[in-house]
Amino acid sequence: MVDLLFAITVGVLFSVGVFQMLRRDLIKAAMGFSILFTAINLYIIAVGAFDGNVPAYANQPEDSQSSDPLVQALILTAIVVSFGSYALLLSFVTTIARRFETLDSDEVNELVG
Amino acid sequence: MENNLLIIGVVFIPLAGAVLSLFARANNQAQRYIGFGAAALSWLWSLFLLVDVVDNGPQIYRLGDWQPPFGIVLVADSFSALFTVMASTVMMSGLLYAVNCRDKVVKNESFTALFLSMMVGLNGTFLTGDLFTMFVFIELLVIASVSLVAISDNRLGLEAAIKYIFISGIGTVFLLLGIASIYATFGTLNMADIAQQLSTGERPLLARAAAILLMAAFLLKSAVFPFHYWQPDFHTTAPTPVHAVLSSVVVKIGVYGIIRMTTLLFVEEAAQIRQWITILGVISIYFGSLGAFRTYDGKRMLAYSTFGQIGFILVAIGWGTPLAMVAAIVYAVNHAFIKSALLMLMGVVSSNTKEKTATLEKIVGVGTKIRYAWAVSLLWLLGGLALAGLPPMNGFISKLLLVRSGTEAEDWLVLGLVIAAGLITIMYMLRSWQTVFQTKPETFQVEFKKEGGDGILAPSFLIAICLGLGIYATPLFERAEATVEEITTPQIYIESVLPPELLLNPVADAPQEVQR
Amino acid sequence: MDPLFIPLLETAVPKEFELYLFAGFNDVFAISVAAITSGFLLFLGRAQWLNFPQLPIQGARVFDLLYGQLQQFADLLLKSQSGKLRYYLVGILGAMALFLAGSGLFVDLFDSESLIPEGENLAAVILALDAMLLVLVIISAVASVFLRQHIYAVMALGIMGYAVAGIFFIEPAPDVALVQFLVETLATLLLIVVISRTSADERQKAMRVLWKGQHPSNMGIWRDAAIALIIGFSVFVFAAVSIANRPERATIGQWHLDNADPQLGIVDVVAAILTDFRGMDTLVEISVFAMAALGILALVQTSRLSDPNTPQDPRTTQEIRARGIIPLSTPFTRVVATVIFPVTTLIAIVHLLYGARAPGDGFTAGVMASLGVAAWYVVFGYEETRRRLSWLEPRYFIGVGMGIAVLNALTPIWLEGGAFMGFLRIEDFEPAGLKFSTTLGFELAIALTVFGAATLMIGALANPADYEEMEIEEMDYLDTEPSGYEVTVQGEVHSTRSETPMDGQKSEAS
Repeated sequence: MVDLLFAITVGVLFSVGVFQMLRRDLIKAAMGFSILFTAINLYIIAVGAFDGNVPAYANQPEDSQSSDPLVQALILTAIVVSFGSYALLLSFVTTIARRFETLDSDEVNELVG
Repeated sequence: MENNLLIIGVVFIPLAGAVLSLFARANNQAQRYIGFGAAALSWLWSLFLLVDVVDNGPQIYRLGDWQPPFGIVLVADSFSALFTVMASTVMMSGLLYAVNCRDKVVKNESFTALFLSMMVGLNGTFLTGDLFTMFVFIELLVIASVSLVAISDNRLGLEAAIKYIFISGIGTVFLLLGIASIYATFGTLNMADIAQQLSTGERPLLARAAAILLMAAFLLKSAVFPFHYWQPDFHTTAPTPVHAVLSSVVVKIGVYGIIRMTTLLFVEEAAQIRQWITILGVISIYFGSLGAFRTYDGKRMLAYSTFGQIGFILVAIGWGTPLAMVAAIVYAVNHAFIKSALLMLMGVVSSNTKEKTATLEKIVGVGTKIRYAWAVSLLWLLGGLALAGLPPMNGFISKLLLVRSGTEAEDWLVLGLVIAAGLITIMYMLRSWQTVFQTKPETFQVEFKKEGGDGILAPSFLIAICLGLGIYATPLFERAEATVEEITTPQIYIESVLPPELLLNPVADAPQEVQR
Repeated sequence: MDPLFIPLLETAVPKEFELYLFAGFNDVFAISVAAITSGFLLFLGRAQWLNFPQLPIQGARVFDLLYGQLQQFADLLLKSQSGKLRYYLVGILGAMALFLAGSGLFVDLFDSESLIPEGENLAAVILALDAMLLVLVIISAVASVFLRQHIYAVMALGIMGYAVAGIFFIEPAPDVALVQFLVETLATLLLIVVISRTSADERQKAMRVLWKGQHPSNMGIWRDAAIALIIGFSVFVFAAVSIANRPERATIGQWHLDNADPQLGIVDVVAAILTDFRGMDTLVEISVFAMAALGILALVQTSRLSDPNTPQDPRTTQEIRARGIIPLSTPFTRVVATVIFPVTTLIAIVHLLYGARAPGDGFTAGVMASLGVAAWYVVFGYEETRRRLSWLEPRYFIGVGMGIAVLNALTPIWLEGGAFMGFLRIEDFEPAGLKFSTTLGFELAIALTVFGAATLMIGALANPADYEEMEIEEMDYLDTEPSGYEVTVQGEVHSTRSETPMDGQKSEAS
């Protein structure tokens, strides 16, 4: 059941992230961005090949199954990369709030047509 | 196969240049010379690489000397080498433009580092043989370009940047979903390995889902309808040197990805994918061309025009015959040079005005009063002819090949639509030439800057290439032909990347049991 | 003629050609002559046919009509470029939802019997904890949507992040859990800083329209929800399929498990992949991180220049005080902050040295150390931190870090004729009983870059105004626009242009 719950969690996080991202409030939308990237990390863990019961270390006992190390490495890279974009996004939000004097994304619409 | 150091240079010389420029932050001029130097060196490297690939076939570099598919491998086959040369040429010209640019943004201490990072990202994307590494390179490109647009002299750059970072975030999520689904299905990230497992015809688990997700991600990177919303804003507000590379080579990432997907990875689904691509391409052509036709701003016109031109390339990919693929590649390369040159020229014109505007109503006749007015006017006319597909420019060759592949594919409806859209291109390009360079208004609506605008060395260089490729088109055409021959035989790519013992026998019954 | 045109023609029509300036009198020549003559005649007689009686259909009018229609159609198209981010996102995500729903993908997936995961092979305790954490993730994620107050939503988001870290820990993926934990901390910190730096009024306004669309009927919510549900459901199916098929698959991950220790002497396989097998990813990844930091810095530098008259909103600071976020300066916190900096640095060094055998690596080391600095920013405020840590110039950390990374990748080529990103395999290099991994140099590079970048991000976001003041002198303008500012740094007036070459040399030498 936990596996199914895991899949459901990934799905719910995606829904919540997408919904949150579609809000008018830029801070809320930024939170949606962060939720989506957390969700994708969980999804990557889900696609890992081995059902491990010990961490991916080389000196584990014979009868144990390590978790998939490659997906963990991928997640680490993805976390860092997405955190970079997230931080950049947050700095944009701060500057937008000063330059446009609003946090409502509907009012940041000078580029039309 | 031996490791080829040329590949490393193309990717890492710009990175080294970026690091170097961080240390020279007290001297901005030196930073930009470092930037241009690194880009020029990397450009030479890419040319050598192309020559090497032409002579000796696909080259690879195994990073850390780990055997693919276990380590990361950089692959330069004809296709990626050609696109790398295209990208490096335009990137170098962009930095050349920046050396002589009067925008405030180029004087930012981070400008050179960010610009060179874009180059790393772009070259890396074209050269990597690993899907996940491609994602990281694309992210580097996105982060660097979005920062450059946000600090643009145009205060609306920030608005465009925040829109793009959200939309690109969605694209990244699709890309990662696709890559993860590929890993779930095939247990590998190496493109050659994926390709050989896909070529067995089996479609286990999430293979199809991955195809859809990756396709959407690449379409988003190329700003194809319905993923185009960010493109006009993001490109228009970018600083001129950045705009010139964004709108010409960076959008080609999607084109590269789609060609790779339909020829190397999802060959069996290619027919289906192509149908979709043709439809989206035609919509993009009309959306982009009509947008360019009616929009109010010179730079925005060219951004919309890129949207349309990508549509032309997609239509060619959609036809999918070998000749059409040649047309797509030639079109992609030619368009990169034409569009970047035109954008730089528009930048030259607008940089002569005090408010740096490119609004067409305001810059009526500005082109007649700037320094080297005759040269800029002539260059713009040549570029316009090229974009519209008239001789003697390279755009003519691309259009000619496109039309010929259309008649060969006997898709008369789409061909008719494509030719009609070409007329719109002629209309808006000639109109802009008349407005900016031929009309002499009684009073100018803008003030001119005393010290003049940006230098015209970079656009002249690019227009010269355009003219050269128009008059003497054979080398590019032959290269594209050889490329298409190579990419339509995925086995060449697979065999040059994977060691013989890991190759699947295509006729074997149980392909999954490979010694790992 | 020939060398110019033959290639052109051959490109267009794949045939052999010969070109002559004049090929003799033949049909083609006759037709050309006829065409030119008739055109000439038409031109001469233009007075006659231009005054021709009005035809019912006139070319010019048809053209005008078409042109007008085309313009109207184009304007209609351009209306879709509405400038509102929401609609763009709806368009893109909606199209994606349609692609996913309409592709017939799910029919295939449901047909295969492998959809529902089965088999319980986890210990009962872990199972319960795992399930609890998953439920916590769902609850806190949903809560972050419905909590109107930003600060509470941020807290919900933080809880979600930590719970996800817990899930990673149980998975078991301790390295990922550690990084997730640290990054979540940093992200929450940044978000709080952002909230504290935006004015309360604007946030109140944004909160009020949070659930409102353009139309009073508010149908937009349902459209958004539908898109979100389709995408969420798709990903749920993908995840369920992948998990259900876990044990049967062969992947390259097994090779990494088998080869990390024998080939590299690194026990922590994840670290081995990150720093060696797939070191390239990591090198580009830290570049991404560094470039994001430089982008933030550049934005902060320029934003003030484009709006030089924007006053600091006094409410912002008051609000910060009220919330008690910045500054948090009590004697106790000052002691804690002073102590925490060496402690985090120490932890960072430990992570660095033992990255090969325990969770934690260069990245966590960098983030750890930067959290120490962040604590100083929070407690002492920006000014005092800069004064106390005047030696700390994040940009040079980035430069040095990335420089080491590139050099480290190049060294094997120079020294051993090895491969780029290969590492010097030093046998039995164990000074003072410590066993260093071969990738220590790379780890150090990662740590320095990440430390520099994270510190730069926090500094720039935490106190943009001051940071801008500091940076202005470094921007030199060719523009002759009246420059209203005098550049004063540390009591001396720079005339930037004359000094720059020397500065450049100096900093390059350092």
